[in-house]
Amino acid sequence: MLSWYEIAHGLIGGIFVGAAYALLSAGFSLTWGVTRVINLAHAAFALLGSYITLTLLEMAGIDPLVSIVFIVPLLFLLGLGLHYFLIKPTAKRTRDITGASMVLCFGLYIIIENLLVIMFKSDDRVLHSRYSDISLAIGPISVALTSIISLAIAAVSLVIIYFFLNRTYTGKAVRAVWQDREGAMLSGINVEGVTAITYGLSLATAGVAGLCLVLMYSVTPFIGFSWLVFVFLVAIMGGLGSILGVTVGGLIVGLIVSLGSVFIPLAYINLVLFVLLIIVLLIKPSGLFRR
Amino acid sequence: MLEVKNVDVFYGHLQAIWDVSINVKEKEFLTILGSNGAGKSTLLNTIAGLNRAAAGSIEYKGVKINGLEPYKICAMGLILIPQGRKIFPMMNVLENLQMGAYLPGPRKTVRQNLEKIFATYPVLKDRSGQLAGTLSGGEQQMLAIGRGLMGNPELLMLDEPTLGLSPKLALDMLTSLKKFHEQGMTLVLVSQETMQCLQLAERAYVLENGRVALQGQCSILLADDKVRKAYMGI
Ligand SMILES: Nc1ncnc2c1ncn2[C@@H]1O[C@H](COP(=O)(O)OP(=O)(O)OP(=O)(O)O)[C@@H](O)[C@H]1O
Ligand SMILES: [Mg+2]
Repeated sequence: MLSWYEIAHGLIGGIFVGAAYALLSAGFSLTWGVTRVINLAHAAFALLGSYITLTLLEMAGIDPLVSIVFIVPLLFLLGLGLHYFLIKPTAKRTRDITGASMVLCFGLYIIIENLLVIMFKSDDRVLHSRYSDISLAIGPISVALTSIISLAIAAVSLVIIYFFLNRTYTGKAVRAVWQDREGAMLSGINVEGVTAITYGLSLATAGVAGLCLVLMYSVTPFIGFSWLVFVFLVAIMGGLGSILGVTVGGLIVGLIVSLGSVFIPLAYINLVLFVLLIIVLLIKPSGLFRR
Repeated sequence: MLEVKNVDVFYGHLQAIWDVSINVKEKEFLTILGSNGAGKSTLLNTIAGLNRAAAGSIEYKGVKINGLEPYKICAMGLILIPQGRKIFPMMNVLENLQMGAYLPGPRKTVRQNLEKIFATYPVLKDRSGQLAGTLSGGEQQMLAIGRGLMGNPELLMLDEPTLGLSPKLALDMLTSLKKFHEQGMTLVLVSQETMQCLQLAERAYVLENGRVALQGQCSILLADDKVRKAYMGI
């Protein structure tokens, strides 16, 4: 018999994973919306964030919270590089940037995954930081401190992205390019530059999401694929380019996974998620929360 | 002010503009006429930097601008209000206008420009918090023009600003253009409303199948029987 305790536990767990998935999906949905590029390598960049966190802690004793200041600039630069050296030249040579970039990014995903295997072996890696093994009691439920930290980082990051997109000139330009590329060009927006910033932001947030996830779970170089599955679900449920939508989508997916695992065997949860995805696509193809 | 010389433009292998030369003088009100598919939009888009000229040259204020990115052309005060408006449907009216002032120069004059635009098109002020995609066709056109004005244009090109408007709204729209011209702006107007354009503007080019078929003072073209027959059906 299921107890309220188990359900409450599932709910809270769902919020923790959901927030991390929301952050992981935000950048994916942004580059998809702005450049029509489906970045299949997105989760691999998140994994890079996880491994940077692990390495900095193990090699130099750098606190996971401090590693944010390494992850964000590094992945931002990788994002600029991704745009200028791979996406932009590809876009110039093809009419179907979505299709071409999918193949390109899939290749990139394989390369990053293999590099990670070479550098870190394929074993399960767990982050043993000074935050590990500490639990806080929320009523009768005990919650890992790492989960709370992860939630806080994800929430703050999502709020920052939201404010960037809705309150700053550059952020608004990102939305403008997404909504009408030519209209943006004619408004005097440097579309190339704004697109590069979008990639920088996208990968930087992916890296931070990778940090959040490695705070809560063990990782292997191959976990990127299952993250990608969640990213797809969240992006499509949330609608492209809407941070509010992505957040709600992330929480829904998180809750389904977490609560689902209370009721049904873990193996069936992917089944439930994809049936749900197909239903969403049939009812509202633009995403549940797109205006 | 603007000098287009012997320009060819292609879409893939199809040529849309053939050896077109036009010039616009400072403070002039020019109109470019022509039937559907004559190449009017292609010409304006090429000047604004959206299309590439395969041959020929485009000079603005003595500087070669073909090949420049559109935002650099905007920065020089040459601004296009495109056919189909191309506003940002999921941003509100005010944000759309702000985007028109994205460049560093125009960003300093946001307040003055907003005041001027709201004085010309008061409805934009009333709807400043509304999503642009929910505006009526006429309001969207005003917004598109307002967004262009935010960039401090010296030469403003308008591609079919009256398309889809009721005759009354179209007339209001053209009247507001006249006001801009009187304030010292150089204008290039593209429209299917041959008669009204010829009455409003000073000089005209007529495009046919991607070539300049005719050019001259509007008053002379208006008086010409052949022109009246061929382009106004009277
Ligand atoms: N993106 C495009 N790809 C291919 N051909 C195009 C494209 N845009 C326009 N054309 C072709 O180029 C020619 C000129 O079109 P353009 O839109 O410049 O004409 P227009 O004079 O502006 O017509 P309208 O009055 O319909 O706006 C047409 O034959 C059109 O079919
Ligand atoms: Mg046209």
